[in-house]
Amino acid sequence: MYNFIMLAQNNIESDYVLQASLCAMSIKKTMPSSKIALITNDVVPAAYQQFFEHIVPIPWGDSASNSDWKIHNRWKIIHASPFDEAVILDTDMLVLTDISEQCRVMSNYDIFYTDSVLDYRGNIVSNDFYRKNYTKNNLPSLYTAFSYFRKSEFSFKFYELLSQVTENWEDFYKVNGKLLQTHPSMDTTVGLVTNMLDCKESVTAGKRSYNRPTFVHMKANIQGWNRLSEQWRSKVGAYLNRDLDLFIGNYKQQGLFHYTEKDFIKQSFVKQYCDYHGVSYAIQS
Amino acid sequence: MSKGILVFAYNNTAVDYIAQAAFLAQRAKEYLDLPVSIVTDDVEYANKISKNFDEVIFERSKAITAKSYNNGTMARHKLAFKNDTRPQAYDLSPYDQTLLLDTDYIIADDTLKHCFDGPNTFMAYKDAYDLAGFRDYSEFKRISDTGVDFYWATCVYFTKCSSNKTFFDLLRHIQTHWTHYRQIYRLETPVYRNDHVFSIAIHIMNGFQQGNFAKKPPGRLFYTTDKDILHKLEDDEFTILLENEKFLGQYTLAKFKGQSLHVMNKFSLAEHINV
Repeated sequence: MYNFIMLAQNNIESDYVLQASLCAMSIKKTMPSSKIALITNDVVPAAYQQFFEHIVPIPWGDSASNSDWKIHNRWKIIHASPFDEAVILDTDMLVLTDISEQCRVMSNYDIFYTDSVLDYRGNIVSNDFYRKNYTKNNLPSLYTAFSYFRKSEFSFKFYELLSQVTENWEDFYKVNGKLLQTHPSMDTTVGLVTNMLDCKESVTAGKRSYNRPTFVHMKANIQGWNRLSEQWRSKVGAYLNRDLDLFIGNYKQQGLFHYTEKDFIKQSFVKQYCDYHGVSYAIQS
Repeated sequence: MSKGILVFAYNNTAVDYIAQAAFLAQRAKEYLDLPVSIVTDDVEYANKISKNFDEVIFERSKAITAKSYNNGTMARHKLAFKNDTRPQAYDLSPYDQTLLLDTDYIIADDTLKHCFDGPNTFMAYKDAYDLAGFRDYSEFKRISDTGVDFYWATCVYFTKCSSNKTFFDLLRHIQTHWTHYRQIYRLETPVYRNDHVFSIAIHIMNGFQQGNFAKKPPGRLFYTTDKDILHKLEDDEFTILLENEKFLGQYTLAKFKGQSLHVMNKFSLAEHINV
């Protein structure tokens, strides 16, 4: 049995609480004994509250109140967590089959980030289309969308540095006087902290590892296509069958699926999961 | 357990597929010591042209499509093409263990004999090797940019068993509903192609995932396209003029020896067929 934790902050465009609720429904379908916590200051529809064992507020105020891209509170997860150890998921993910084995691998670490993702056809992504600055600056390419912590001295030290870099990202992102990128991102921040602590071997499995935790990452231009695209949904079809198996471009998806494009969540998908769990469909008003 | 090779041959006004099949039968006997049966709509001609066929099986083609045939880089012909009966291979094959080959597959070694020795019940090549080396391989990597892995229907081994019966039934289902399948698999060409139908069916047999329904046959599948010219064929030695990467109409001379070769230029192949 594994604990999961998510952080959701709605903005004017996206209902992250709905995403988190759908993710929780997918976890409860595939790994029903799991416990799930949601950190949020937003209202969770009553129908969906049953999928979370804990709904906790974001501690120490909202550090992202002035930003639409709300990543500034991510470093607080370890502090807000009701669990001593938990798997952290981005809200725009679905757990389509049991990922216990991957969680078990992660639980061998104090902190874990996956460094390997798959395309929808099941191939390991090897191109750095979205991460050329990582390659150029020798930053470890880690993915916070699927990560893990156990509360420990090392973990709190790591998260303390995460908070420092998050709050002062424009200073930390400077390399030779130039910014690594023009906006903060949690993956970049984690890569920087990992380099600062020189702890890559301690926070990821490496390429030789068997059963390396991973997920299907649906960023459009890492799907192995010859022709580039802004949105993956304009290139391949997506549907859920009656058993809630997800098919993308006629490939049945397994494990953890990171859809990345919020419009992927169709009303019909949410309704299908609601029907499965016998709850009424509700969206943010 | 009976073993043999099955080929499908339907002539058009310019390409004598039946002669190609007869040539294949000659070489199959020499290199593989296997009987060859032919499925065709011209039984009389097949019986006349060769005594090497084990069985001549009549099956009428119900769909004629048009296909472009190159003869090197400077000549192209649009001709009728009848390729709709191959999904019936399971029902038509007289053998328990069948090696299904294109008629333009020139056998020059005994590698495929090992198909019959092992435990695998279905084999098809996913990868193939272009002797020219420089050409864009992407159309043979996947059936479309976003689509499933490409498998070659050129050389397929199957046994008579329930899973293969399901596979060939599935081929016919896809064929019947081709317009639907080519749309949902996002094929850019409306032309029916057996490689595509086999690829989609293998994907489905794999549970819509990467899988191992189709095992890899022994050896490698080598090919030259119809933009190359088969200049000479002596026993197991091919002399080929390969399309030049930079100069249209010019070729690079190459030799290939001791291995079988899929020769797609039907016109230059015809010049070396002696049956």
